[in-house]
Amino acid sequence: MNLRHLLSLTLLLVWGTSFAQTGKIEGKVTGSADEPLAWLEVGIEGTYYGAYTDDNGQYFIEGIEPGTYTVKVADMVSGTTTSQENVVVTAGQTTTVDLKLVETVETDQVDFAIEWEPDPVTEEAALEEKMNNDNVVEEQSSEEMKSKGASKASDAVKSISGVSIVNGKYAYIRGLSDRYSKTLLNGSEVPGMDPNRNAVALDIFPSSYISNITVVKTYTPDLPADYSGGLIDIHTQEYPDSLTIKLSLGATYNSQSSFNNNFRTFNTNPGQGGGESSVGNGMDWTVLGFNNSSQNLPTEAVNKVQDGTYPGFGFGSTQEEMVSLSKSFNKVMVPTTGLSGMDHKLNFTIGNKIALTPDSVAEQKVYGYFFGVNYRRSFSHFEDGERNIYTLNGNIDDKSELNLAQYNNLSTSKDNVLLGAYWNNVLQLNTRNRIGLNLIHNQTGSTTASYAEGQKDTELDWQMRTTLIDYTQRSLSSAQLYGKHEHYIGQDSANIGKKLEIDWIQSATLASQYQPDTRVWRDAFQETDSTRYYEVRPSAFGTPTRFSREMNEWNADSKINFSLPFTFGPDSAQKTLTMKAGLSNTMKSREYSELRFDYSIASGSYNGNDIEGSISDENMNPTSSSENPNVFIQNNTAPGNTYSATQRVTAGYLMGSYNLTPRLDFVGGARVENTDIFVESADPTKDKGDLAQTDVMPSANFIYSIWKDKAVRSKLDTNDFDYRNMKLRMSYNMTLARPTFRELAPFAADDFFLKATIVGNPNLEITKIHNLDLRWELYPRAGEIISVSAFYKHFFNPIEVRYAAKAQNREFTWENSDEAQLYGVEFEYRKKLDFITPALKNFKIGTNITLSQSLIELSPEELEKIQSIDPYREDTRSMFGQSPYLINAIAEYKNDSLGLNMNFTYNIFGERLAIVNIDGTPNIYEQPYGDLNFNLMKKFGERISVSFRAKNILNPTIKSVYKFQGDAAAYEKFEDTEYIFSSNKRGRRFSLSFGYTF
Amino acid sequence: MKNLIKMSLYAGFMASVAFGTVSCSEDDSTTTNPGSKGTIYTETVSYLGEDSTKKLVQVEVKDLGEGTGTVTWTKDKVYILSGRVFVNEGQTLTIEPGTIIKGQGGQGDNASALIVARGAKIMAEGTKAEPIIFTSVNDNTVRYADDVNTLQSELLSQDLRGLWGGLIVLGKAQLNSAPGETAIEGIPTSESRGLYGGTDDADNSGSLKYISIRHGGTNIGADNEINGLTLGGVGSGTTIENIEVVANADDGVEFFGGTAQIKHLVVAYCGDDAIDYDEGYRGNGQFWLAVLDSDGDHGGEHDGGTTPEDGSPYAHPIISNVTYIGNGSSRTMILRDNAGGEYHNSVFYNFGKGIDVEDLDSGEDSKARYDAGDLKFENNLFFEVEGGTNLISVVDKDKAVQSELDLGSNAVASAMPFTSAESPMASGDAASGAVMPSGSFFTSVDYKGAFGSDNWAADWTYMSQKGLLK
Repeated sequence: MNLRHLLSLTLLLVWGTSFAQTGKIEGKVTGSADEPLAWLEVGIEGTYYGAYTDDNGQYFIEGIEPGTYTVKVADMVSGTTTSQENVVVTAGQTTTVDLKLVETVETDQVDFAIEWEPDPVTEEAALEEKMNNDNVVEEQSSEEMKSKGASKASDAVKSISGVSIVNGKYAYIRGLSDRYSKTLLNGSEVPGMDPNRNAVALDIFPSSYISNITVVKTYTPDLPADYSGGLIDIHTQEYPDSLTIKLSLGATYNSQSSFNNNFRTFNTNPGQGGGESSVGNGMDWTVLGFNNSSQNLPTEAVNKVQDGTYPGFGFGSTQEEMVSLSKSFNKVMVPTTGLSGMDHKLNFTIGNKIALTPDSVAEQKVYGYFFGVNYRRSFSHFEDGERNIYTLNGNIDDKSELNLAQYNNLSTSKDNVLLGAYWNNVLQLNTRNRIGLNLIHNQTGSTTASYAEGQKDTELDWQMRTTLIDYTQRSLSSAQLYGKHEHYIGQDSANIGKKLEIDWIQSATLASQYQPDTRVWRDAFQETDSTRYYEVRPSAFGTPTRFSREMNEWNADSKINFSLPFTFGPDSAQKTLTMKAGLSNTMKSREYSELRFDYSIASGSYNGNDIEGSISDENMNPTSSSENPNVFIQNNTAPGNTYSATQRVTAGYLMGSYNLTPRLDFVGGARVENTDIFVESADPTKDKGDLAQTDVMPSANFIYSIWKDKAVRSKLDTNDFDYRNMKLRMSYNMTLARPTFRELAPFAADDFFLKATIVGNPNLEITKIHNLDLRWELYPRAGEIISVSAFYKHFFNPIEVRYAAKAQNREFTWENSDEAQLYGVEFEYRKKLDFITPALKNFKIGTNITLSQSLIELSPEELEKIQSIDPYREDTRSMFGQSPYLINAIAEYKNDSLGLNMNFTYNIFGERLAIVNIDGTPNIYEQPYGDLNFNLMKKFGERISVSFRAKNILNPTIKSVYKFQGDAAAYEKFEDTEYIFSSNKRGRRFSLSFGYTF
Repeated sequence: MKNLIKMSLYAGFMASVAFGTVSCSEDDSTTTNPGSKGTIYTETVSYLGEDSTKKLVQVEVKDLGEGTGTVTWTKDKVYILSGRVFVNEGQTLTIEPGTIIKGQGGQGDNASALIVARGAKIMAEGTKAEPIIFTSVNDNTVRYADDVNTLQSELLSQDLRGLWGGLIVLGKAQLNSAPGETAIEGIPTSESRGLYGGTDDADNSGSLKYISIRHGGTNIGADNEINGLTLGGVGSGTTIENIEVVANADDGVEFFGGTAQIKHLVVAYCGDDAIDYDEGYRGNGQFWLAVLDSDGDHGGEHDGGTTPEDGSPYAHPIISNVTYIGNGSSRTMILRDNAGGEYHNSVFYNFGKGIDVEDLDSGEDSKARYDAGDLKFENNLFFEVEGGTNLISVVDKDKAVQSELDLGSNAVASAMPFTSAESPMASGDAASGAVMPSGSFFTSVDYKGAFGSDNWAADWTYMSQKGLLK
C-alpha cells in the first residue's frame, strides 16, 4: 500500500464518523469586481475545517459540527484575508456564506524585470534610437497603502511563472512578445500607447488603486481571443466597508541618480523656470506630468506644415518667411548638467460605504466609493554606457573576430512623473443588483537627456557627437459604467431556482502619447591638443533635427454576459450545466501624426562649443543675394507618415461548464469574432490597409480532480489536519493575433527613432494559434502549491518582422510566416518551512521556473543574404524575446502578530533574442542578469506603517551582445566571445516610506 | 478630380513663386491623367515679363506608378518633377537638347528625382550649345515657349545645395552584394522600379550627353541624401559623356556596382564626396574634374563591397586623367572593404590628407586588393597633398600601408601642375608623360589630369558660366 492509498483510507475514516450529525457551509468567493476567485483557501477559524474554491469561486465544507463559527478566506498570494463572523451551522442544514475579498491591500507598481527594450524591428540600432529605447529606469518604487503582505500587483504579474516585463512596460508571457499578450482594465479593452504595438503599457497604472492583477494563460470563450501567451486583467479597487482615509509618503535614494551633479537635463525656458525638469528652480507643469509650451514646436510653423505652406527653398519673401519661422523655434537643443534630487511619492485615498436605507430594510441600498490620487517622481541616470555596432565583414571561415563598425559612450538621465486619479462609485440597489461608474485619469511625463560621443569606421577622420533631449507625455482617461444583476427563475420551495446572472460593462477610453519636440543634435569633431574643432556633417553623421509625434487612440467597448445553470438527474447524482453566452463590440480609432524639422547650417559659421550661439537669431538672416542664410530650419515632415485607423471587433460566444462526472468537469464552447481594420494615410496617393475577417475559435477544457478537498490527518496522534487538492487540467484552445495598424498600413515611411524605412503589408492575415495545455497541481495546504505545466503552441501565419535583403538602408516589413512553434514546461513550488521545525512557521520559500523553446523559419531572402557570409547558419531561429528559462524566487518571513513582513525576491531570465541581423553578423541577444530585491514592512499599531525596500541590490551590468565563435580553438571549445552592443547599469535603490491611516 | 485641380493650382503657385514680383497674367492649366496609376502631366501656361508677353509653359509631372511613358520632352517647356518620376521598364524618355527639368523641393518621400528604371532608356543628348539642365524650381533658368533658342539663365549660388533630389539611372549590370539586386537608396524595396543589378554588364540604359545637374541632393529618405548622378548597376552599353554635377548636398556621382563609363565629367562644390563607388564598380573613366569646397569630404570614396565586404567581382574601375582639387583640409581618397581600382595620369592638388588604403586585421580591406594587384596608382602627380614633398607623405602618414605602396611611377609635382586652381589646364609636370591604360575607351593624350590645353567644360557648364572654371 502506498502513501496515497493510506491517506485515502484515513480520509474515509474521518468522513464516515463525522457526517451524520453535521452541517454544511457553501458559498462563493468573489473579488472586488465580483469576479469569481478560484483556488483560495476557505477555512473555519479555530478548526481544521476548510476547502478550496473551484474555478467558479464556489466552495463547500461538509461535516461541520453544529455551532457558531467565523468563516475566513485567505488569498495566499497576497496575504489578503476576509472573514464573516457568527455563521451558524445546524446539523443537516446548509448555510450559505458568500465572501468578498474587497479589502484594500498594499500594492506595488509592476516591478520591472527588464530595462533595455529588445525591439524586434531594429536591425542594428543607430545611436539615436538606442538612446530613446533605452528606458533606463522605469522602475517605480513601492506604494504604501497598507502594510500587509507582499505587493499584490508585482506578485500577480512578475512572480507568476512565465511572466516577465520588458522595457518596464510590456508583458512577455511564456516567452511570447507583447503581440501575444493582452491587457484589460476591469475586463474591458484599453488602447495601447505605442504606435508600433498593440500592447498596453503597464507602467501607466499607479498601483494604489489596483486591487489585483490576474493573468490568464489558457483561454475560455468568454474572453477576447486575441492573445496566446496570457491575458492580464487589471482590477481596480471597489470600495471599503467603512470610512477609510489613508496617506502615505516615501522617498528613494538611487546610487546613480540621486544627488548627482552630472545629471543631464534641459530647461527650455531658463528665464522663467519653465521646462525645468529636475534641477529644481521652480514649479512648472512638467512636475505634474504635463508639457509646457516652451517644449512645443512653434504653432505657426506647425500650422504651416499642416496646411502645406511652410516655405521651401526660395528667395526674397520666401526666404524671409523661412528665416522668421526658423527664429521661432526654441533654442535649447542640447542637455546641460545639474544636481538631481531623490525620488519621492505621495498617495492619498479615501473610501466609504454609505447606507442609503436603514439597516432594517431587507433590501438595503448602499452607495460605496473609493477616491485616490497618486503622485510619484523618479530619476534615473547612467554614465559610461556603451552602444556599439559590430559587423562580420567577410566569410565566417576567414574571420576570427567581428569588426567594430561604430562605438559610442553614452550617458542618459531620465526624470519620470506619474500622476493618477481614480474615482469609483457603486450603487448597490439590493443584494442582486448593482451599478458602478469608474473614472480614471493617469498621466505620465518623462524627460530624457542623453549625450554620446563615438566614431564610425567609415569616418575615421572624425569623431561624432550626438545629444538628445526629449519630453514624452502619456495619458489614459477612462470611464467605465458597469452593472451586475441576478435574477431567480422558477423559484420553488425545494429549490432556490435557477439563478440568471447578467453582467455588462460599457467603457470609453482615450489614450494619448505626445512627444512635443524631440531634439537631436548631431555633429562631428576633430581634436588637437584637447581643443575641439566641430562641424555639422549631414552626409556622414546626419543633420541636427527636431521631431514631434502625437497619437490619440479612442476605444469604446461594450460587453454583456449571461450565465444560467441547468440541473439534471436525481439528487444523488445531480449534474449541473451552466450555460454562458455573451456579446461584445469593441471600436478603436487612432489618429497618428508626426512632424520633422531639420537644421541647415553652413559649416563656416558653426561653433560646436556654443551650439545655442551658433543657432542664435543673429545667425538666421535672410540674404539679399541668391544665397542661403547661414542657419535655417527646413520642413522634413513626411505627410504619408500621418495616418488614421479604425478597428472594430464584434464577438459573440456560447459556452458551458458541465460536471461530466463528480471528478471531471468540462468547460468549453466557441467564440466568433468579426474583425474589420482600416488604415489610411494622410497622403491620399498612398494605398490603404484593409482587413475584414471572421474567425470561429473553439475551446475545450477538462479538469479532473484526483483529490478533492481531502482532509488529511497529517499526524495521527493530533488533530492537525492538512487539506489537499490535486487536479489535472487539460485544454485545447484556438486563439488569434491581429496585425497592428502600422503593420497593415501599406505605405512606406521612415521611422525617426528606428532610423529605418517601415513598409506595412496590406496582405497580412490574422495569426491563428492552436494552444495545448496540460497542468498537474497539488495544493497541500494554505499557502502552498506544487504544480507542473506543459504547453505547446502552434502558430499559423505568425506575423514576423522581415528585413529587406535588397535594401541599401535599413528597411523592414511584416509577413505571415507559414508557421512557428513554441513549447515549454513550467514548474511552481511554494512551501512553508515549518515542516523542518515548527519554529520556522513564519518562513516561506517559493520559486517558479519556465523552460521554453521556439522555432520560426527565416525567409528565403534573408537566409540567402545571411548564408552568403555565414553558410552554417540554420534556417530557423527563436522568436523575439523568448528566453530558454525564466526563474522567480522568493524567501519570506511573515509574522502577523508583530505586523512584520520581510522578503527577498530574485528574478532572472535566459538570454533572449533582441535584434536580428541579416548581413550575416550574429544576432544580438539580451543577456541574463539577476534582479535581487529586499522588502521590509512593519506596522506600528493600527494606524502607522513603515516600509523599507532595497532594490536592484546586485546592480548588475545590463547588456546585449553579439556572440561570435572566433578562432578555431575557441570554436572547438564552443566558446563564444562577447561583443557588447549595449551596456549600462541602473544603480541600487533604497526607499523608505510611511503610511498613516486616519 | 479634386487632386488634379489642386495640382494645377500648385503648379501655378510655383510659377508665381519662381517669378516673384514679375507680373503674370492669364495662367492656363491643362491636365492629362490617363488613369488611377497613371502619370499626371499638368501643363501651366504663364505670361511673364513687364508686359506679360513672354510665354512660359511648365509641365508638372507626377508619377503614380506608370512612369513617364515613351515620350519626348521638348525644350519649349520646363518640366517640373513632382516627387519621384520613373521611366518604367520598356519605356524610353527622350529629352531634347536645351530642355530644362526642375525638381520640386521636399525631403524623404516627397523628394523629387528622375529615375530611369532597370530596362528603361533615357535618351538625353544635349549639345555643347544647348545642354540639358536639371535644377531646382527655385532656379529661374527657363526658356520661353516663343523664344526657345534663348536660355534665360540666372545662376544660383554654388552654396545652394539640396534643393531637390537628383538623376538616378538603374541598370542590369552585375553587383557584388548579396542577393545581387538592390533597391537604390531612399526607395523602399516594395517599389520594384527602384531595384537594380543583374548579369548584363553590357546593358544599355541609353545616352546622357551634355547634362548639367545643379543644386540637388535633398534627403530622399532614412537620412540619406541623394547623389547628383546615381548610377546603379549601369552597364557599359550606356553612353555618358560631358556631365556636370554642381552644388549637390551629397556625393557628386556615385556608382553602385556595374560597368558604367564616363568621359568628361565635372563635379564641384558638393556636400560630401566628389566621386563615390560601392558594390563592385568596374567601369572606366577619363577626363574627370572634381573641385571640393569647405563642405566637401573626400575626392574619392571608394568601397568594395558592403554585404558582404568580400563580395565579388571586386571593385576595379580604371580611371585616367582626373584632376581632384581639394579644399586644403579634406582627404584625397579613401579605399576600403576590398575596393580595388586604378588611377592613371591624374593630378591631386590641395588636400589636407592623402590616400587612405584601409588595412585591417580582419583582411577585408583594400590593402588586400593592393597586394593582389587590383589597386594601382600609376603616373599620377600630387601637389600640396598633406603638405607632402615626397611620395611617401602623400599617402596618409598615419596609415601603415603607405610605405608599401609602389608609387614608383607617380611623383610630387615640383610646381603647380596647371595654370591655376580655377583653370586646371595642364602645365609643368602635368603637360606630358601620360601612359594610357589599355582599352579602347581611353582617348590617347600626352597630358596628366582632366584638361590639356582645351577647356572642354567651357561655356556649357555652370562652372564656366559662373566664372569658376576658366
